Amino acid sequence: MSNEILVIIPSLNEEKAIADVIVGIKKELNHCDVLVIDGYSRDNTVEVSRKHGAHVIQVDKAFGIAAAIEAGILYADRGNYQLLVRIDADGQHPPSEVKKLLTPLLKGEADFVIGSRFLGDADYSPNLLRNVSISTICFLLKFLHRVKITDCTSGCQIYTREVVQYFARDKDFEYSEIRAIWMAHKAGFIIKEEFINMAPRLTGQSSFSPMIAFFYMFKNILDLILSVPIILKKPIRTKRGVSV
Amino acid sequence: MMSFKARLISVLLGIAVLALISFLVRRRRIYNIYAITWFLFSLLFICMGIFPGFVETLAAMLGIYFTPAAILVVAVGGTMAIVLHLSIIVSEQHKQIRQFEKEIALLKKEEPVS
Repeated sequence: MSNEILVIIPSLNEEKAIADVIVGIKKELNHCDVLVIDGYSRDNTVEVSRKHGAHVIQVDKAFGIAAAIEAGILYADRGNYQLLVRIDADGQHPPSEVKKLLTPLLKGEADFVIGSRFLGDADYSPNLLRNVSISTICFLLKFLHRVKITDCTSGCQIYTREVVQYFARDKDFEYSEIRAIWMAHKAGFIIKEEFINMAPRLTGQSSFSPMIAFFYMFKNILDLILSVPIILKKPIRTKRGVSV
Repeated sequence: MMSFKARLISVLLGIAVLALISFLVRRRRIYNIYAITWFLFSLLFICMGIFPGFVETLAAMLGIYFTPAAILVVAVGGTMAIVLHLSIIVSEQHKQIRQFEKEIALLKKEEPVS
């Protein structure tokens, strides 16, 4: 038996926005389970999510959003879900837009779809600092891994079952939007970008303070640079489990 | 040439560290494999006392004219090795704790109210 779609929503203090996200996504994607991964919010995010029909798990925010997504990936792997959709809790990814991203996956054209706000004319545009860091990381991704992505930090990513399995069975896997992209690319999965019209944040606080943004940049750039094999080439697990 | 006194102190210091670490390991205050760098460190000091030629060769090799400074180099180097070992241990434990956190989160899953 295999379930259809799992939507994971990492959240922290989003009681105002999360209800609409859960209800909206449940309406758009018919047979989907919603899993809210909460970082021990101080407000009623957990109660609100459960009331609107979402499963809730809690991963301490001290471990970052990465551990939250990894828990979601583990959950999807154990629950045999066909697709894993990751969206933000603040309502920046409108559910009707997310539905459009599923087409290439259902047609079997891609294993990994990213919702990019730069492929079209989105309502939301990030500030300068964020733009610079995004383009730097995108450049590094293209330069070091030959993978062309326009929005590498997008919080809207969709994986097929194979990608989920690939990540879930790697004991050392540490999630970040960027790491997921190059790891999947190296393993031979087909990554596709589709335009998603992102709405500006309506309520709540972004977790992206300048300090966190700096750490995020530092961590990811270091990660990217060190991911290049220099002397000792580690065998790469490909999607079929064979190493090259 | 190291004085006899300096050699004696070096050996005694090495033995003291060795004894202290052994004591702590026996008392289960330090997990045995984590004590390995400490053991190597104390052995280094004992060796320096027994074979003073080692320090002199090292000093000559590094172009240090004041031999006792070479002892400091060894001591700092050994400390760095211990700190590095600790960094590795901390990172491994961080990874394990993350793993536990994820598993516990999945075990404590709350069902929707329907």
